[in-house]
Amino acid sequence: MTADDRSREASLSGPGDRPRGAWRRLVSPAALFAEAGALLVAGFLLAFWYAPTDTSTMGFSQKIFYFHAPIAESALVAYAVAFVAGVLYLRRQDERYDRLGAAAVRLGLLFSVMVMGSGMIWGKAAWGVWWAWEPRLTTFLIACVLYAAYFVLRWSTDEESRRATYSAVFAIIAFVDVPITFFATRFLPAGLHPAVITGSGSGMAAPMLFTFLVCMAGMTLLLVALLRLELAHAALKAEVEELKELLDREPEPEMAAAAVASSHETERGIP
Amino acid sequence: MGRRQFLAMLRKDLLIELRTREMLLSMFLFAVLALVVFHYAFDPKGGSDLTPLAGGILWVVFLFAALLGLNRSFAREKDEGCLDGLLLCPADRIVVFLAKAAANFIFLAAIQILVVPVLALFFVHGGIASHSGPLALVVFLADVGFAVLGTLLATMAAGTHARDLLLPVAFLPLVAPLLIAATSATTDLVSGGAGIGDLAGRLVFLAAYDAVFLVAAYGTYDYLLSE
Amino acid sequence: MSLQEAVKFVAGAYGLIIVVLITTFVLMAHRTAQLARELRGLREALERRLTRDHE
Repeated sequence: MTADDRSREASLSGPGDRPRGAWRRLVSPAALFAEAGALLVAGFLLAFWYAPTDTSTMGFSQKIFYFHAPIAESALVAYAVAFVAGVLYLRRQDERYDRLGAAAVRLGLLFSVMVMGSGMIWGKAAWGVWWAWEPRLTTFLIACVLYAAYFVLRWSTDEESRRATYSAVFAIIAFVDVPITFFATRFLPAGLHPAVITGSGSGMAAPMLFTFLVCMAGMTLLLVALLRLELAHAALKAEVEELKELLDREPEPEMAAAAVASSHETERGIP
Repeated sequence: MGRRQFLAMLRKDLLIELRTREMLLSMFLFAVLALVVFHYAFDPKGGSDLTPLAGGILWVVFLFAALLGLNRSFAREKDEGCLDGLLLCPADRIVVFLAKAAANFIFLAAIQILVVPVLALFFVHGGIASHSGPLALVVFLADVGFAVLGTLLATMAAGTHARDLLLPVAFLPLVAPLLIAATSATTDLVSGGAGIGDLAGRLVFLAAYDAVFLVAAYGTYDYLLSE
Repeated sequence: MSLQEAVKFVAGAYGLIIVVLITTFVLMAHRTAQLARELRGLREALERRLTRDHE
């Protein structure tokens, strides 16, 4: 890539660009982690010292809901981000969208595994069984397998632009499939399992709702923070590969100078 | 113009298969053998009535036969360079997709028509002749979904180096809702004696699923073939 | 289910989530810092190469 291409690329806006001005302090990765952490700690304390204990058969184990449901919501947000990144990649062919998509799916998968773990523990506490074929658990199980397939697809596609295109298409159809799967498990006569998680049901008492919202905000912010960290990592990696490659062959001075300049640029994007 | 190309491409796929019949024959043999295995899996001591399981068995067997067929149909194209030839012709990429999907649908339906009677023979006490109308509808709608998603994924898998592994891994979770709906509908039909009214919700669901993924394929197939 | 047992399960669920999240954060932050160091090293090597070429 010539120096001209580089400066042109840097001036196009895209994901992972540093935000300008006062915003930057609020949304820098470090700040996001601090904000998310603060919200989550607050939420945790609220869950146990402010929200009333559930009066249904679930009792104390209902408290798991305050982290379990926000993580589920964040996983879905991550998948939605991957969907949008996929659409944008197909239309603009900018590899940064591919990086965003992969990072989002990776985090979505991590969060989904946590949903399953906490969901199973909650299931054992509330119904006495480690597994039940109920809609939410089943949908997240299928989502886990589905988005794991996303990575199998990536690993088995060798050529870079093809990998990005296929990943984008897959992220699009996978995201469409998740709600459909949920409907299938919910409305079709499946198991006769008596207990259904009604955690996010109607008529949550105000203190419960408030706690829930605090935790939801915290978890979502945490997702955003982790996403930014992932993107920074990916950008750094790409830069490192490029510099390594340049050093291997004998570069012309302008190329080397441009590489040095852009690596400064990349590094400043990290806190 | 598009219609003529569509028919031409469809004819080509069908003719190739009819000449060798290797894919259809393999899929059918596999299906029959799988049915036998299921008998021994679920009724090792003999004598049980497996009618309530027949619906599930049908779709599992069919799913794996479909995977075999989908892989095969694309592997052949790729190996013989037909895909490049197709891309050179001045047709809308989407017509290529529809033609391939239609061909796959016809193969799947053909296998279904052959396998369902065998399934009824092996597992359904009381036969299924009385339910054949609603059953045909369920099968039709589900097959469309299989064909659309299968063609989409097989196109992608053909461009990777692990195509035989990738297709099942990606295909199964994506068609999970389809399988859930089809299996429950078929089971109710075959062993529960349900009528078409009871199935209405599921039939609508299957149709909606097909529509959604047809739209998704329409939007993305162009990009897939450009690679 | 007694309160004792319920507390154990709740603690398990929250513990799992917190441990996984913190581990993820620590691992990612560590690897990013490592890459940043590597980047700086490579850049210096490149700069040295540049000045060497100019002489």
